[in-house]
Amino acid sequence: MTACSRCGQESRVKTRGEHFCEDCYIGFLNIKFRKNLDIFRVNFMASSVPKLLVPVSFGLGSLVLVDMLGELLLRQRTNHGGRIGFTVQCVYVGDDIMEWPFGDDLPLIHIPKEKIFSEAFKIDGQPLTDSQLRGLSRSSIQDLEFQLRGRLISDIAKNYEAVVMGYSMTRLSELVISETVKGRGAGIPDLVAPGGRDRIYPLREILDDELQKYAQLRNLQKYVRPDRPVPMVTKMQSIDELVHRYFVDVQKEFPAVVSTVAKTASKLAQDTEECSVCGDGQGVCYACNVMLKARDSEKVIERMPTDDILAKYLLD
Amino acid sequence: MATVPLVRVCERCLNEPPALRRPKTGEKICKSCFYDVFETEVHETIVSTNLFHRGEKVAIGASGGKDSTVLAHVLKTLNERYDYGVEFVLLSVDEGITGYRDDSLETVERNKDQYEMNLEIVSYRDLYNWTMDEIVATIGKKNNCTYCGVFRRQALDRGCVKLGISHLVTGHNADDMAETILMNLLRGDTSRLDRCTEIVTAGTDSPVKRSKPLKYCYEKEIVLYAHFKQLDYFSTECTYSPEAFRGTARAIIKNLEAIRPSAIIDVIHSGEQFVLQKKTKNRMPKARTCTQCGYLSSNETCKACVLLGGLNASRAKIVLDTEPAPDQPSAAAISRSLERLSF
Ligand SMILES: [Zn+2]
Ligand SMILES: [Zn+2]
Ligand SMILES: [Zn+2]
Repeated sequence: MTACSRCGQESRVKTRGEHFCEDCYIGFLNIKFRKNLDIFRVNFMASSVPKLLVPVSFGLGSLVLVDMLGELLLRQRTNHGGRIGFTVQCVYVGDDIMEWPFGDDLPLIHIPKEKIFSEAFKIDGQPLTDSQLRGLSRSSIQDLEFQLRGRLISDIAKNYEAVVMGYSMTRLSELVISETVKGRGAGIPDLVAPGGRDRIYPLREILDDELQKYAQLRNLQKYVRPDRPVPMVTKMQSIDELVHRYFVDVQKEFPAVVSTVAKTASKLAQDTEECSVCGDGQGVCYACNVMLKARDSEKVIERMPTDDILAKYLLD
Repeated sequence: MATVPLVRVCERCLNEPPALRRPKTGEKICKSCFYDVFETEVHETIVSTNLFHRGEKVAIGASGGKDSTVLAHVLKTLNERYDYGVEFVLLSVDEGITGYRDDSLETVERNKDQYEMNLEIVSYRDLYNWTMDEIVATIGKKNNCTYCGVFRRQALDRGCVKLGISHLVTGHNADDMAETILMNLLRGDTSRLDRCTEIVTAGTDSPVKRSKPLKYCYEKEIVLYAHFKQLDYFSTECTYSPEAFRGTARAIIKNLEAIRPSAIIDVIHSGEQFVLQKKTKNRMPKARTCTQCGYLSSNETCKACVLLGGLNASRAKIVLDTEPAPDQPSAAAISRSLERLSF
């Protein structure tokens, strides 16, 4: 038997070189989680309880986040005679909704995906038409959905104290790479900044593998949405899918890469480009321009040996 | 309705038959339109950044490879066409890599005559008393680029100083830039993150300003340009192992391009938006001189001397531990030291 390095009970999980029993592991992650929500302790002086908006995707991060929030509320009630430091409203923007395993403390509202195209996004006051949408590549549609969902959440968030999101360190690092390759480098500081724009990422110091183990111990896995199928052919994949697979591969060879990327990105200063699509500004930023104009490429262009380049590009 | 016969003509001049599909845009264009658009893009980069001034003497870091050969050719062409009034000199580094550098240096020697430019060659052997082959024999086939990168950088600096030149242009292309941006993120190279996309870099640890006139040129277009112009270049890649993450960055960019041909430029655009926070910037090292070689350095000992210290220690160890066989590189290096002494 391997012993938990904290209490001596039987170890169930090993992470960051340390053995944990079930209780100590959940406690270890909860400390990282709770320190980000310290400002929402029970406040006996306050006249009202702050409302938090929690966007969920039914991915691993959002389910673990909501579970931890529920546990925190329970703990507050137990320790403070039924009082709580915050209330939670979860929101899902998308079509195929899943089973919601949480109680009355953690209510969920559902916004169909069409709303983000019809209401959240307009060009010159006009929503994007079906034919405009059809002209976009798979990659651009995913990107556009991500941007518009973010804007819709920001709009809803105006009625809340803060937005709390389930981004893990792994997910944040992956976002840094995918936003970079989409030409969205300017938006990265805003995306990863701790607490930037009243956004809180309580799982920002926790790795996906660690969330996975938490979900196992808490029996959450069956509620996690399975990964959507990815096309086999590279050029049919989206940039997000490609970067995800790449990032999984790089971690096998260089496990430290996740924390390195997260740390590096956190050192970047705000330098946001003005944009009416992904932000509240004027005009269209570089990346949104690429996103809205880019079409599925018919041609595969690679970094190839000279002979292949000549064979491919020379016309006879 | 009459059908219009499909005539294949260049999409730019609508006159000549097209000779290639342009990797950057997919346009089918003729040879002379390709030359024109390729050269004009480099010219616009040069003009919009005030890269050169009249009377300036500029060194071209020439490896004999396609990038620096195309760079030399295009700069000569533009210098004459637009009368920049710049004097270009070829500057090469002999790393001492058998079968790679000795052959490519022959190419540079021919380029010297082809482009009517003076040529200066600086060698690792003369500067550091080590060839790259000897270094690899000592450290193994790992981190070779780290050594080579540090030594080459300083060798080029020293070559420039020797020639009284304070501006070095290098053949880095858009693909290199995009790879470097991703690599700097992946390995946490904060100090280079916001500088690596600048067209001109003037570091605290170098007396020479460096610039990359081909930073927006796709590598594939450089290959096509060299092919059509029948430029004389050396096409073998260095055989030693590349830096960590270089290979993976290259692989992802290749895949990204399949999805979105503008991916290379998109990554560069992101890199150009990266600005470091003030507190990070202030912690950047100040310039001083290396206590060992007196060269500009951001630390007490410059990177080259740190690496050389390690190398020389292991060489001393080999001499003490074993009787070196006559064909061993360490023996060769030692006998060179003796030759110098006897002189
Ligand atoms: Zn324990
Ligand atoms: Zn935008
Ligand atoms: Zn033409």
